[in-house]
Amino acid sequence: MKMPSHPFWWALVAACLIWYSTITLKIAVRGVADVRGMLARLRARSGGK
Amino acid sequence: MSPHFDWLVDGSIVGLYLLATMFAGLWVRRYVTNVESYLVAGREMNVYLGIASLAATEFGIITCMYAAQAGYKYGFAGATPGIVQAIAMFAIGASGFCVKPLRDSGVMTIPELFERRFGSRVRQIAGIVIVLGGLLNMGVFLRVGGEFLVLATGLDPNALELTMTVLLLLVAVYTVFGGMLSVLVTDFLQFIVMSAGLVAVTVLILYKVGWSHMVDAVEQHHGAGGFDPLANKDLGWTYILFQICVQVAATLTWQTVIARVLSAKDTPTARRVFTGTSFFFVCRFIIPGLWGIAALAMLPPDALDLLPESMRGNPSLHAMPVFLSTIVPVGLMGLLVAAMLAADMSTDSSYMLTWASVIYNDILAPFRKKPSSDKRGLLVNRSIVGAIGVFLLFYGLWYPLEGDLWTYCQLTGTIYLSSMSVLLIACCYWKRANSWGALAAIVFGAVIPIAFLVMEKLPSTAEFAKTLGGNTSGLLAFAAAALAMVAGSLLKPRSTA
Repeated sequence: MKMPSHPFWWALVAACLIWYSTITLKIAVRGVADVRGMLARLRARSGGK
Repeated sequence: MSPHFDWLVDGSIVGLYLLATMFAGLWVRRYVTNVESYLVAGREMNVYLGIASLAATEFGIITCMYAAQAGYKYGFAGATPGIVQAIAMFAIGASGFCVKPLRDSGVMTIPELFERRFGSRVRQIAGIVIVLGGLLNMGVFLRVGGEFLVLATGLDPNALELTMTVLLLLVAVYTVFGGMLSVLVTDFLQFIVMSAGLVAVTVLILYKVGWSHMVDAVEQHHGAGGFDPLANKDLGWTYILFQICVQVAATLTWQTVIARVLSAKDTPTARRVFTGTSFFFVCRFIIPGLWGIAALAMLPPDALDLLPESMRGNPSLHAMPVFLSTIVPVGLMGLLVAAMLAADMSTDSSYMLTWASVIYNDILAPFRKKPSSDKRGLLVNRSIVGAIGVFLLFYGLWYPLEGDLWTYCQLTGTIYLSSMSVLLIACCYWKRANSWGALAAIVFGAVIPIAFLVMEKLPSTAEFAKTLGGNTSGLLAFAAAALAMVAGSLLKPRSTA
């Protein structure tokens, strides 16, 4: 397989796309729990109003 | 309208996004009960929400535009600031440098920490400088955001002001009512939408334009300097040194970044948000930079001659949206516009709130003879957020942006980044630092970039400003602030400390 020209920049672009896609999926799942937890703690703090 | 923007398909995607954001932003306002919940979300933010919020806030249309402009003008070397900031953020998060003592202190803003070490006058002046630099920096966001939307979707250029106003109104509504809670929840949604759009459009560009074609275009237009910042005649060592100073300082003291540290539920969470988000800052420059490079490769030489009159002064800034209007198909265009609106709204809301927090917490604090009630505190904060919105609208309408957008953003940011980073480091780690040094650092750190911006506008000094350059002027500001801190602190007699 032929190596792409300017492999440093090629690898950085590839790393960005892979990392960004992965972290987006992870945040989409784990972030919901964070939002729920934050609102639950705030609700509890204000006396369950 | 662009033939690639279909009101039914793309308009529905955008409308759905806007509805979801407004609903979420306004729904959480019921949890706002006091100033702490309004400004720092009751310090209940956890890691993943923090990463989403920090990433969404630090990526606006403005970021997309200046990173794409850097790609168009400097090739891959234009992504250097992103690499530098990613390293800075990871190192600071991993080591806890400054952010640990800052979060441990329990303050709501950086100037509040300064008061404990340097006195109330320094707190107030630091607040003024932070707000001045921050608002000047943010002043161009709206216009640039509006220009992107006009060019990418083919909207009538005469509708730019109206587009800007509607954008701002939408953001202002949920920010005014929900404060940091609304900002965090909408940031989460906006991060997902923004990321989906950014990745999808980048994959499309790589597929349609091709890696080799982009590399060839950079080689043809920029030679070796398009791949190596040191080989680029417009960049070089002064550029890299200035980037190191700016990015370290921004990571330590940029109020929108630090607001996430201060909203985190504890110090380890704050540090994990930094290390977890760090690589995003590479993406933040690489992805739009690639779009700018694709515009360089694909746009015919006369494509930018057709720009509306008001945008012809800065063609490299507008190449990317013009290019996107020709390549992104119906359906994906809706996702792109929703992604860019998400990016812009998350940035605007957070910026409005954080500068408002400094005005309330630090500049107005000395005028409050007794603690405000929660109701009154919230009313004042909401009024300040609204007033900032009005300022942005008018400043965005009349300020004529010339030259490099990234340079403008850095210079306006340097007004406070230089002195505040020096103050924060000295405050945390230098026992001899005192109020004389702090005041001297603030004055010297602010005067140099302001003088440079004024000189750029005056015909008699414009040539000198051009010769000096934004990078050298910025470096001078950092050096002057550090020297002033040392000299001022050593000059003050110890007995009066």
